[in-house]
Amino acid sequence: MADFGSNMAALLPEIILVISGLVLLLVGAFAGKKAVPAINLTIVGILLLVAVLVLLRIPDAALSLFDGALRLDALAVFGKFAALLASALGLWLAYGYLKTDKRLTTEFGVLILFAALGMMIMVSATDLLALYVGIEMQSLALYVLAASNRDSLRSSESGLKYFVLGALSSGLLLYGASLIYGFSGSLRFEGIAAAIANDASVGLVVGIVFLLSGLAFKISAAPFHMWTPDVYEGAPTPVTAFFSVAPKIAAVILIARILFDPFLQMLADWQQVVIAISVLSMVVGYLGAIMQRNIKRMMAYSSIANMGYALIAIASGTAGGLSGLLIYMVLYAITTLGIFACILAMRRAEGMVEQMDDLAGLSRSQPALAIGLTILLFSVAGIPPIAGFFGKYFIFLAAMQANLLWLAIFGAVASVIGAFVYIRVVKIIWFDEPPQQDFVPVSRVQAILVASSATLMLPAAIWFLPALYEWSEIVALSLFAGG
Amino acid sequence: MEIGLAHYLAVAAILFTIGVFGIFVNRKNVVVILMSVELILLSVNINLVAFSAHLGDLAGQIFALFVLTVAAAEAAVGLAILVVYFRNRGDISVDHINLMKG
Amino acid sequence: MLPIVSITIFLPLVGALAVMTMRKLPRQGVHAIGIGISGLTLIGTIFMWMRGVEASGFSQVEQINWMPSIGAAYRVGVDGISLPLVLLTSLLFFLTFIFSAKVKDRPHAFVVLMLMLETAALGTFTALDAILFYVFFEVSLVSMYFMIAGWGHEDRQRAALMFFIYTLLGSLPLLLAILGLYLGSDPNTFDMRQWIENPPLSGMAAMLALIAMLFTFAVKIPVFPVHTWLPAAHVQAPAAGSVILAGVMLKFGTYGLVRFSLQMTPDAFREAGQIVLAFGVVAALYGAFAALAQKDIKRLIAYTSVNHMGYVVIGVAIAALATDPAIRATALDGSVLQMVSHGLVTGALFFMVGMLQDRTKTRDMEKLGGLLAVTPVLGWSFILAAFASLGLPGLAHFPAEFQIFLATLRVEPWAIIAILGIVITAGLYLLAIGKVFLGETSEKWAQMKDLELREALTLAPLLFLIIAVGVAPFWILDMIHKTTVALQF
Repeated sequence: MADFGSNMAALLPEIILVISGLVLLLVGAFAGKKAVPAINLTIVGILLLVAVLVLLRIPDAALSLFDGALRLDALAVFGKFAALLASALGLWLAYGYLKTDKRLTTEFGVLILFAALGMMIMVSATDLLALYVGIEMQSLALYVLAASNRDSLRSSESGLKYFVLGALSSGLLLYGASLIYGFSGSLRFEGIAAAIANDASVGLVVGIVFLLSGLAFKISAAPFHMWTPDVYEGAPTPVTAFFSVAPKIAAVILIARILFDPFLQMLADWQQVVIAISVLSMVVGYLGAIMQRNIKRMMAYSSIANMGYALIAIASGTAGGLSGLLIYMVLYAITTLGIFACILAMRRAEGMVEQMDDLAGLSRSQPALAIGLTILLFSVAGIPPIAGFFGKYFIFLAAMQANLLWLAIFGAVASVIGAFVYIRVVKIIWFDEPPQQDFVPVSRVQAILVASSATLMLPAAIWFLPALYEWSEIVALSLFAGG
Repeated sequence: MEIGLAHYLAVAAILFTIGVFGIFVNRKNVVVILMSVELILLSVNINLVAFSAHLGDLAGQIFALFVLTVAAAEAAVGLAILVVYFRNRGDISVDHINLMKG
Repeated sequence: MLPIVSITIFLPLVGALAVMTMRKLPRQGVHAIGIGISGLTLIGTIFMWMRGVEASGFSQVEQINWMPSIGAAYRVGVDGISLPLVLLTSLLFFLTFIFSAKVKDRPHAFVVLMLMLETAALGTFTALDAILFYVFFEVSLVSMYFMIAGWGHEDRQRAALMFFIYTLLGSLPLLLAILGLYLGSDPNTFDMRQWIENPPLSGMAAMLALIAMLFTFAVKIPVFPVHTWLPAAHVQAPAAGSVILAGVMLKFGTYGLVRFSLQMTPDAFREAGQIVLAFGVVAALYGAFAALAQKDIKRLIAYTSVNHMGYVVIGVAIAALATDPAIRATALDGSVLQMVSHGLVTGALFFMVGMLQDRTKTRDMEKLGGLLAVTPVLGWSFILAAFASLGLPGLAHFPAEFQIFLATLRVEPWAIIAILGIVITAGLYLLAIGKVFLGETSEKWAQMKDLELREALTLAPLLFLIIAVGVAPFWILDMIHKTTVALQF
């Protein structure tokens, strides 16, 4: 047990975020319009800085903070770093986009900062109360971000939908949490684990199912996915890009932590639920994606399906599964950010376009962008030698290790449907007749993001996967050794 | 008849169900949805306090206080988004939230 | 020692990257690079041939650790089964580049894709690590997709998509089988040599893995009833694509059948041998009959591929069923030689169909006729290749099919009914030759030009090798035999 001072010291990154968020909000309120770009760039810098700080302060052994409410272990560091980096890149992407449209505000950056703070709490929570506060901190910021284009009906409609369904999911989650509390007598994961070891009552099963439903909303897994396509389509594109990466990482890590830490002993009880959600997500995601002509909606369904794959890894309930999950999420995050950078580049003189057909002839007008997007699409389709394939590969390996052969087979078959979805876009890029008007040239941020994410996906980045694997294994073992 | 834990849980479960139905069945007004959300959160609070009293553990009541606070923030954000939506749409009927099919 | 295998595999890829950077280069320059690089690759494989193979196991192995903790590494090497296919691959690619020097539409992208495809094909045959094998196996698919979709004929988009989805669906069971073999091996490794030495799975697991692998390779070979992508892909692919598809990529399936199914799950294969044999017989007969019904000459050749690859399947199944090592070696010798012969013969035939199509803009045999009189060189070359394809003694297919049938008679005499396929192919080739090259020369074709130098250069080596393999197969058979007699399973 650490004293108050050392507890606070361990939370230094979070504290920096809180203080800078509040200060910058005040600065924004008083400094007027001119300071807006500078404030947003400062936030990008702070997020990156804190990400580095998190990495520098990896504890030797897992630290339990505030009487077991938070835990600072390798998984938390991994999650915090990924969430901060994804938030920083998301804001960086949004910065250029919003500046061009003259819609950049102070609040935008500050909201992303607070959402990132919520994610940091989520990935380290080992207490139902901390978990709830983290999720709400993140979600409240996200609701506002979705509606942040105040003059657009689509944006405010998507914000409203997101809010209503998000609030419902929080309710489900809370109801589950209250049941778990009642039947285990503790909010702490440790206490819950001890109670389960004693006697796993039905109330706990009901509680975990409610909790899982609430969390499934947050990662937009079917059948709790209804909000995703609308919110993805309606929200401003950089917000969509942000939504599809950082919160997903945080929520997936949260699910993994709660299921693998206190509830691992009840594997038999929740495994079926997770498998059902996973299968449904893959089916709904890919079948839904086939119908879409709007690329943002397509990406929404694609993310639903991708969460299905992530859930396969969780269903395995092993350290190998967790490490596969982390690899998958990192590759998914990089790929998705890259694809959204490409989508943001779909801008003609008169404004943004977001139909898939607008990509026609991209290979002739902007060959570099076309190659980058093709690599990223092949990655998300899971076609070797692009790294996305290895993400799926580790997932299938984990499933087979856990004797879930049929689930691996199902995932493999589903990925063929997925390949069809993505190859259709590739076909449009390379073989359809180009329209009259080209896109405006890509901005530097987009070019850097597309190029670096595509390069990381190539086998040329030969060190990347082994490094990622080693890292994920350390992280996975940290949870399993401790819990 | 003594009122025990089971009764509190039953009331909470009923309130929770009403809240969920309020969100899905209601086709009229978005404000009703916001009220349903509050109902759900309050049912959870009943649960938490009842369990807390039953277990003789204060953590549940503290959780309930947190839920109250967060619910207030949530209502504020929700109403703000609703106001923005109303300015754009001129209407808050649930049936009319259909710009994007979903 | 110089890592010739790796250099040879990646030389085309380096060439592809070089071409990508030289966007300004004119068309001729791009094609010259393609020809040059593939020529160098051919020389590299000839070096590999000169180094030769050892009596047992793999030779010229090159290895770099990649992810040691999961037992994945970069491992390449050759043996008597893969080396002939490597030689065939580099030769066909070299000739394809010569033939394709006329491509005017997006020459940069064309050459880049072809070079990537060459790396993928060479890698597939030389990989000794299952993950590496799978990666190369799939890369070839992506390149071929772009090849068909970008430079194919009328209905290319649909055919390319069908090809892609079909073979992707086909290849995923292989991935699961690889994972199964990996989890079964102790210590866990992806080293194919370990898997061959000590087959990791047994019993039910081995049978499941075998079924998965058979499905994958059956799609690739292709075996009836999962062959339906082949005619569509062949007909729509450009001539270069057809040559590579038939000459090289179909061999992925038969090579995998030997390397994976037969060598890694031998017991299960023996149990399922009769069924595989039956599939082979059905494929051989079906291919022949289906070819008989075709009007489109490209479809006709595509279906004879199904027929010829059916013989390979028969040979491999017989090798699994045979108890006498000598017969087993004979059957495998025949199968591997059949792969090489098919590459040479079908490659030549697809080249010539491409030449015909360039001239006449049609593939419909009914619209052609009497071409022997206007284009005697092309005509006689076609007749030679067609005779080779129907298995005439003295030409490439004969020694291969002869050995397969010989072994079949000793092990499972009933399967010899597949020989009926030869009779049918003989008939259909004679019919095709009659329709296209004999008879009245129509006015339309009177001005047709015979072979250009480029085309003659493409065909000459193939025709020469068809005769060389047919008359004296020993120079290549010895190398194959060295490995097949030493196989333990």
